[in-house]
Amino acid sequence: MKYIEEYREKSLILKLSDHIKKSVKRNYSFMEVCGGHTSAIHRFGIPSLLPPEIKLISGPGCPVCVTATDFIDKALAYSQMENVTIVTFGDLIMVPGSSSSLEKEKTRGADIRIVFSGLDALNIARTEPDKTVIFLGIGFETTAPGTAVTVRTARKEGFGNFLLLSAHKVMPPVMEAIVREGIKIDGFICPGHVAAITGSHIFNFLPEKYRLGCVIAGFEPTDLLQSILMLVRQVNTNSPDVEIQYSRAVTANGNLVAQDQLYGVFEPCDANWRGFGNISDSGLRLKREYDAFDAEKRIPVTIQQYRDNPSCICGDVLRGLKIPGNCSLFRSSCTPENPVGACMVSSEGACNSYFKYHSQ
Amino acid sequence: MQGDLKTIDRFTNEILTGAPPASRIKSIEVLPKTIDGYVNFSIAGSKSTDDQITEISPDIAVCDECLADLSSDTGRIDYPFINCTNCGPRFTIIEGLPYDRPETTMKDFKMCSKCSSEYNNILDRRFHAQPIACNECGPEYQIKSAGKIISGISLIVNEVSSAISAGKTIAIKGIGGYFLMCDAFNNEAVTRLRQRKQREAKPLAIMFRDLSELKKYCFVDKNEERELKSWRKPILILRQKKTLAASISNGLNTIGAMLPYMPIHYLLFRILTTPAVILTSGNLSEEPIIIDDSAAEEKLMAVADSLVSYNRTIRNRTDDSVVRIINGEVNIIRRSRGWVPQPVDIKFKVEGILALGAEQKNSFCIGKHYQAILSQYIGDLKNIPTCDFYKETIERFKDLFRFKPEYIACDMHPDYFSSTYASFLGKKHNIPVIGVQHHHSHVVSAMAEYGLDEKVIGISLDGTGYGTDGNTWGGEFLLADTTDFERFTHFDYVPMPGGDMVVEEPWRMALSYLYKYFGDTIDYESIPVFRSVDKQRLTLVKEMIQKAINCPLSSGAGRLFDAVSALLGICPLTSFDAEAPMRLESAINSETDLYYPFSTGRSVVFAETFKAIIADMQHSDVSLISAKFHNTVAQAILSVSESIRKETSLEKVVLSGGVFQNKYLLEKTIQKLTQNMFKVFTNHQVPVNDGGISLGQLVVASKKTGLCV
Amino acid sequence: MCLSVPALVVAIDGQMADVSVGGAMFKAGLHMVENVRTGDYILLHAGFAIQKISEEEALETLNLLNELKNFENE
Repeated sequence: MKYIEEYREKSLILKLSDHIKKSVKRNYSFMEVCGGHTSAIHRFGIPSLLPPEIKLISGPGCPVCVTATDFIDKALAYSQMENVTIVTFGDLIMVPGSSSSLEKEKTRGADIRIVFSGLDALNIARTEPDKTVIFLGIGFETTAPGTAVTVRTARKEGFGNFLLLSAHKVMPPVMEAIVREGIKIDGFICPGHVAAITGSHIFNFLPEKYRLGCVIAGFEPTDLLQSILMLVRQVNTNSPDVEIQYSRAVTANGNLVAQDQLYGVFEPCDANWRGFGNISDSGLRLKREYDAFDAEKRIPVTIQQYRDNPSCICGDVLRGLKIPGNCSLFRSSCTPENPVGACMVSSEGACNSYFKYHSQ
Repeated sequence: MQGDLKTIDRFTNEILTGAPPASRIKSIEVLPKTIDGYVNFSIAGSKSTDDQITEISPDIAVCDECLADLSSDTGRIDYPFINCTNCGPRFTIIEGLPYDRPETTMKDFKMCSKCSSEYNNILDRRFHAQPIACNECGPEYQIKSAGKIISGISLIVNEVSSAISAGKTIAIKGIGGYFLMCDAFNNEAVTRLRQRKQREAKPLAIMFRDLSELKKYCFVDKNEERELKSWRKPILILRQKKTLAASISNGLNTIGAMLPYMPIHYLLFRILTTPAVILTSGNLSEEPIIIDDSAAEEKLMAVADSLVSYNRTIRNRTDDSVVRIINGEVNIIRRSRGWVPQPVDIKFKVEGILALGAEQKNSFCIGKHYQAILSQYIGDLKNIPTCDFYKETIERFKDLFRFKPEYIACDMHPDYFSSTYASFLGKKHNIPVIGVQHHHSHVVSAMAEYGLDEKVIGISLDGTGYGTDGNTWGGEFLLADTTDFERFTHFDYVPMPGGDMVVEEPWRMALSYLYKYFGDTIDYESIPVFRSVDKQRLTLVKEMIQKAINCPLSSGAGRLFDAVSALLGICPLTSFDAEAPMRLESAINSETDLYYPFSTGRSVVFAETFKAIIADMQHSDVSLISAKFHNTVAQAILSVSESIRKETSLEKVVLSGGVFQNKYLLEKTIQKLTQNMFKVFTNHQVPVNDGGISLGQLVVASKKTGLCV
Repeated sequence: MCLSVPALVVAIDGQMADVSVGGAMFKAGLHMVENVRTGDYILLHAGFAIQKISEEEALETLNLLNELKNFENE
């Protein structure tokens, strides 16, 4: 397939690995903050291609994993209401809430459906006017514009039965939170598809404020290796910068049309991140003009104080402080079939990736 | 007819003078004939004639005689379905032609002996009144409230009255559909109604107890009074005198006001303490008005506290009509109850043409011989329920009028539902589909009303319409006849950053016009409206304009009005269609003839206008600037018309398109044009907005197919 | 969740396109990209085209990588 095969060429991969080995002068820790990167790194066995001096840390890049328990509990509360259809992206369905999960409620008869796109959710609302369709909006700046287009379409066509429960989030605030927490990293591998939308400039604060470099990386093995090589060079020459490796999709300014749609519908708000708690201005909520599509405004819902399993260390994993192997539940009581924490649920979660690609 | 000459003369005269209010006498022909020996007077039963049109009357508001009968007619004391040959439901209850009781939804009600004898008595006012009924044999109301069902009209009326006084909302079945009613003076009730209906900001219609109450709250001139009292009883857009609940008109200086038109309204107002109620269509969001009783129960009980319904079916859904008097004449904004299905007589043969209209405020029309029969207001064809209503109504009209389409006319916009449906029907019936340009259709719709069949100066100003060059048009000056048109000039093309986002966020158009004319020489921060926009977004949109990303071009006059409205800080964001220009017009409260400079050349350019407005913003108030801006547009119209006349000697100017719903603008424009010896024509029988476009499409199709040469 | 994958635009109908990911067909909303033609490659994410893939830049990246491959010394 075009734009994939060429970037998986074996000789290129080996050569890049070689270059990296020759370039290391000290120890390096690089954090990636994108579920797609987490998954790709482990699927392609990137760590095995790197010298021991380079440590790759997985951060809060998986939108499913960082979705806090209270969001799941709210969705579950809605799913119990009459004539309500919950529509969600696939991975969220297994994430445990305080006492249940969407998947469990689905088996008990709640109308919960999986879609590939917000437009599919809108179609359900269109063809089933008697149901109140609540779409669970999760994802970062890559996904949120699509939800914005969906909500705008709903408004234009005068939908009365389509609502959004938003857990959309943006990346820069959580990256800044990680840096300020003092977690030792020498640079970031930045999410390529978030940047395709936002442009590379949203990461300028890293070199400017914290003298930390970053490279916006693609998702094929050569993309990742080239990006790591670029980061190593930045550190070696002490020239932190925002570099674009994924230039076939990312520009400095990004996709203006998508940004326009996004900020026409959403505005920043405080948000709750699993593992981090509340981070200000890190979430996206519907603007006042779209109150009619805001699930919580149209149908207020109350939930109990939520609780996470005390043995679950997803929070620490998401902050890069621990690896899945450190968790007492990993592989024993927490598996992809029976997940305890969110990181095991999503195919982009650290625990899930470790489980799939690393032997015992 | 047989009799002595004097009696025959008197008869003929009385047809004219004593004609029922809702009748239309097209012509009277008196032909002498040999006596046939008739013994008495009778009306022969109607025959079902296959091809001839038997006109269906529009619904007629309850007449004064019937209202008087409510107190005096023993069988009909307080009977809320009282009617006679001069009034009552017509189109909404008809199922087939000819107009006879068995072909209406009254067929389920067997006449009692009293009604039957009146029905057959030629001297009775209820002679052959198809919906004739009384307390014994006719339809009945009931109210469902807090789980109980109450029957009996006086109990119902009492229940509704106390509910309204208590600030509750009532869903009530009217003539053309269900409505929602609450006290117009109770701000809390009104606000709650808005929230539940998801109609956050759009103006709501008000029904007043009587004309004298109405006049306390609205300015009414004699033309407006005449329309208010007419047998159609439409909603009139009137200038507000005193406020009712603040959230009704929501900052606009006009009120949509009407007088009672059903017997139950009168019965209610007899005991309601409030002199006015909100009466808005019973629907949720943008869906068609509800007519089905079970749908009403299901959907409206979530919005209303009680439901008043009756046991006769509404067959043909019809919204209330909305009218504005401009320059002393009727301008229809929404053509529905009381108008549909009255044909528009035109001098073009249009038999077999089905014109599907456009997208917003849609109505379609069918051609029968020399008549155009427009459908009722359908709505915006943007969602499934409205599109379903559209398709159903097309089929109904085919049945009701025994109409078989031989040609289809539609808009040229490839993505309108009406256009794709045209294509579908064309293939299905194997008949030709004729695309007619949007603004050309507007102009021809007005020409058709006057039988104009020559080249005219056609000026079509609206927000949007597909142009033959693929751009969005809307500020068009055409040399038009009923077959074709030439684009003489147009408003400047201006980018719409974000495409259709400019409709909800008119500040983008303000930015776009200013950027186009002045680039970075303007300090945008110094203009208040741009300070109210998030800085990041402002930069983003500016960048999109600079790079021409997602910035389709438009010559739409509506966009110009949006831009000025936003620039003046009146309306940077909109929540309903045309809110920005409406508020801009509403801001005018001074008299002036001053106008701003502009230039005409290859296109009409408003650069100097914006420059002058920005300067004026320093020291004049918004009301004066708005007036001067409107005058500028009127002056520009005059200027272009004069250029056209100079080149072509054409003197007839036709004005159409949604922007001319603006009373100030239309009156000013007509004034300037007539003062300068132009003959001006605009729509009166169909709307200037897209609700009238199907008439224009019909006529152009007639010419193009050679049906009419 | 919803990864983004390069997809080939096969057919366009208004604002929706039929796109192919290695033969598997999907629908993509074109609301966020301009001037897309059949034969273009877009990034497909959650049922939307979020970006056009720049052929030029793609080649540039490959060239760079190949240069690295051939470059023996640092």
